[in-house]
Amino acid sequence: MADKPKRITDLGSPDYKKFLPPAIAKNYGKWKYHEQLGKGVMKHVSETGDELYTVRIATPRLVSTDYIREMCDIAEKFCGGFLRWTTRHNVEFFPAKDQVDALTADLKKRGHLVGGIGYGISNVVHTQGWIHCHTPATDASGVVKAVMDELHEYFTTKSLPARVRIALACCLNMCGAVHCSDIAILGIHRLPPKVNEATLANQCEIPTTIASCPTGAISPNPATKSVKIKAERCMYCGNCYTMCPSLPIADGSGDGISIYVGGKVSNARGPARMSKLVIPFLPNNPPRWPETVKAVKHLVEVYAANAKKHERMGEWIERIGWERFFKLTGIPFTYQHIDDFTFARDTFRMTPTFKWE
Amino acid sequence: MGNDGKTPMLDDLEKGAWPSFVKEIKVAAKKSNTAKDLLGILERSYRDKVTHWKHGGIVGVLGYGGGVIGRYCDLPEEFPGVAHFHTVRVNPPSGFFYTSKALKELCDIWDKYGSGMTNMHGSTGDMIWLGTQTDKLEPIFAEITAKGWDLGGSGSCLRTPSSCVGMARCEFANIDTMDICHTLTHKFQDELHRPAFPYKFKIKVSGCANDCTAAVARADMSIIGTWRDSIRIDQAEVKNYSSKMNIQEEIVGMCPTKCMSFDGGALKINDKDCNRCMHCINQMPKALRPGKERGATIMLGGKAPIVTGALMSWVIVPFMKLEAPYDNLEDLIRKLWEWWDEHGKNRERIGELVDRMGMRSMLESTGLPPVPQMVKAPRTNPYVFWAPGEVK
Amino acid sequence: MLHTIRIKGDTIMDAAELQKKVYELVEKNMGKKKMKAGDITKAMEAEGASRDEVKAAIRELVDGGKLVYSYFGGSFIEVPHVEGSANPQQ
Repeated sequence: MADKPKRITDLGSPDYKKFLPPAIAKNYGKWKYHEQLGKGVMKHVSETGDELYTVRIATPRLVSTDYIREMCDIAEKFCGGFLRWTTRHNVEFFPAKDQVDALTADLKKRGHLVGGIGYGISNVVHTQGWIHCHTPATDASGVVKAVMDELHEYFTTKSLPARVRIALACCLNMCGAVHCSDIAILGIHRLPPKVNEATLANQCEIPTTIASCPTGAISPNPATKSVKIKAERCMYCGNCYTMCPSLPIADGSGDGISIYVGGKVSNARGPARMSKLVIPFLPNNPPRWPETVKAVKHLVEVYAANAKKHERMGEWIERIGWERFFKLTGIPFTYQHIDDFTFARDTFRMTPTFKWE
Repeated sequence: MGNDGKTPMLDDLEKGAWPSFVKEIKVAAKKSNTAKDLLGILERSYRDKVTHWKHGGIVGVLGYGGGVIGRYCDLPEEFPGVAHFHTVRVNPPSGFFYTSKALKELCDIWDKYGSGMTNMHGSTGDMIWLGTQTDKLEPIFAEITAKGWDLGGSGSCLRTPSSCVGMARCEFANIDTMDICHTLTHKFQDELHRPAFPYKFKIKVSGCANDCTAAVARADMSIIGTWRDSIRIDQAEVKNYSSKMNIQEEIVGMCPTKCMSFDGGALKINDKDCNRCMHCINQMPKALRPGKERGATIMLGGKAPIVTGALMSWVIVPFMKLEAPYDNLEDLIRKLWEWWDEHGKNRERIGELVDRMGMRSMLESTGLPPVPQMVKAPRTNPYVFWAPGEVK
Repeated sequence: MLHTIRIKGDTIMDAAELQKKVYELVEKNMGKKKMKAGDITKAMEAEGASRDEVKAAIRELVDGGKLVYSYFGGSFIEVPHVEGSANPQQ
C-alpha cells in the first residue's frame, strides 16, 4: 500500500488572494469610483485615496504558451508580475501612474491593441469551431479574426452610441451562450446527420444512439443493423454524432452562419433580453467570410448612424420598431424570421399600432 | 490531396490588425508536432468547410468524471499529431487574477505534455489546454495538483463557477463575488468532479445588475448583486458631471422608472420608485453609489438552447444577504439539486424541469415562499391547480 | 473503505456487496442503456441502500478503476472499454 504516492485531488480553485496586486489587496471592497482615461486605460479611486490604473489589450483567445509568457514578462516589467484576464478574453495590467504611458507605448510597439473599455466593441466572446469541436457549423476564431480585422478601430479608437457586445457560437448548442448579445454570430446546420451504414453497427451502440435524440427523430433500421433519421424532426443539435461517430452532421454547403441582434445582459435602463434573428443564413466562405464581415459591419454602421447615446442595439430597435429596422438595414424579412418552435406565440404582435413610413 | 504542409488559407489570417490566432498556432508548432498538425487539419477544414473532429467520451483522470474532453480526428494517418487531441480544463482563480510566476509554471507543464495551445479562457471560465493524449492525462494532473491547481468541471457536473471582478476592482459590487465563487467551488468539490446530476449546472456571480459575467443568460444559477436602501449621492460631484454631460437628457430622461429630477443644481431621486437598474450609477460613478444594505438576487434556469430553447434565469429569491461562509446560499443550492435529482430526466436542465413541473413543486421542496418579484405579472389563464387539502 | 452492514427488512448488505451489485447493474446494461449516477442510485435505493452509500460505492469503484465516467452529451458510468471514436479502423 505504501508504494504509491497519494494522489492529490479535490483542491478546487487556488486562493485568489495570493494573485491580487498589492494595491488591490489593500483596497479590496473599498473602491469609490472610476474614470475612463481613454479607450484602453481606466483609473479606480479608493476610499483610502489610493489610485489603481488598468491598461487593457485584446487577445485572440486562442493563444500559445509563449503568448502567455509574453504577457507575464510585460507584467513583470511594469506591474510586479500581476495581471488579469477579463471575461471577454482581454488582458489587463496594473501599472503605477507614472508607468501608464510607458506600458501603453510598449504594448503598442509589440503590436498589441490597447482598448476595449467603454462605448465601442470589446473582444468577441467565442467558441472553438473547427479548432476543436465535433459539431460546429462554422469556424469560430477565423470568423472573429475576419470580423475584427474590419472593426478593430471600434476597440482602439472609435466610439459607438453604447457598448456593442459581439459573440460567436459555432453551432446552435451555443456552448458560448451568445443569445443575449448585441450581435450574435451563430453557426447553423441545415441538414440532418448522414447515416454511415457501413460503420455504424461496429462503432455505435444503437439503443443509446436512439436515446440521444432530444426530439425522437432516430429509429432502428434492422435491415442494415443501423438507424433511420426522420429528417423533419431533426433540429440539428448534433447530439447523436456526440454519441455515435457514424452520424456526421457537418455539411460543406448546408452549414453556415446566421445573425441575431439586440440582446443584452445588463439591466441598465431595461431588463436583459435575448437576441433576435435578422439574417437566417450566410455561407461559410473561409478564410475571411466576406458575407458575414459585411453584414456585421453594416449592422454596426446603421446602428451607429441612428441610435441615441447610451442606447444599446436592442433598445434602439425597440424604439424605432422592427419594421423600420428591416427597412433601414435593407435586410429582407422571410419565413425563417417568424418563430415556429416552443416559444413562438410570445413573439407574435397583438396590436394594430404600427409606424408606417 | 494529402498533407502537404501548406496552409495558404490560414496564412491569410496572419494579416490584419486584430491579433491572429494563426500566428499563435505557428508559434506553438515550432515546439510541438501536435500544434503543427492542428494547423494542418484546420487548413483542411477551411478547404472542406467541415470539422474533422470526433467526440470521445471515455477519457479523464482516475476518479474524476469531469475536467477532460475527449477528442479524436477523423484523418489520423495524415495528421498523426492530432490523432488524439484531448482538452484539459484547469480551474482558474476567482476573477482571473494571476501572477506571472504561477502562469509560467503552468505554461511549462503544458509545453511538456501538450500542444502549447490554450484558451484564456473557455466559455464557462476554465483555463483550456487544447490537445494532448490519453497517456499524458495522469502526469498532467499530478503536476498541476502538486502546484496547487485542479481540474474544472465538464459533463453532468457542477461546472466551474465564475464571477466578475467584484470588490477587487469595482465600486458597483454589492457582494463579494470572487469570494462567493471561490467558496462555492470549494464547498462543492464532489459535485464538480463526480457527475451525479441529470445534466450540467452552472453558477455565475455578478456584483451588480450590469451582470458582467452574463449570469442571466449563461448560468443555471445566476447570483446578481443589488441593494435595498437608497442610492448614495454626492451633489457636488453631480454638479461637476453637469458640465460634462446633459444630466436631464442622459440620466433623468433615460431613467426607466422616472424616479429622478434635476433642477440644474441638485439631483433628486425618489428611491421608492427606483428599481436599481444601474444606468445613472454607470454614467456618474463619482456622484452616485449603490446603497449600503447590500445582498443578491438569486435567479434560476438560464441556459443555451438545447433542448427546448434558450432560457434566461428568473427570480427565485429577490434579496438574499450574502456573507461568508454563505451557508444560506449553499443550503438553497443543495435543496435545488435534491429536487432536480429526484425529478429531472437525463439531459434536463433545472430550468427546463421548472418548466415541466411548475414553480410550485420547486418552491415547496426548497421552502421558498411565492412572492410577486418572481413574476412579470400573475397568471391570466384560469386553469389553476389546487393541491389536496387546499380546498376545504 | 466502508464496511457498514445494512439491515432493511430481511436484506443484509455490506459495502463490498453493494459495490458488486452496482458493478453488475452497469455491466448488465452495457451496450443497451448508458447508466447515469441517478439511475444507479434509484435502482440500489430500491434494494435498500441509502443514497450516500450508493455514492460511496460508486466512488470506490471509480477510484479503483473498475468503472469509469463517460461523457456523451450527458455523463454516464460505464465499464472501461475502447470507444468507437478512438478506433480509426472502424
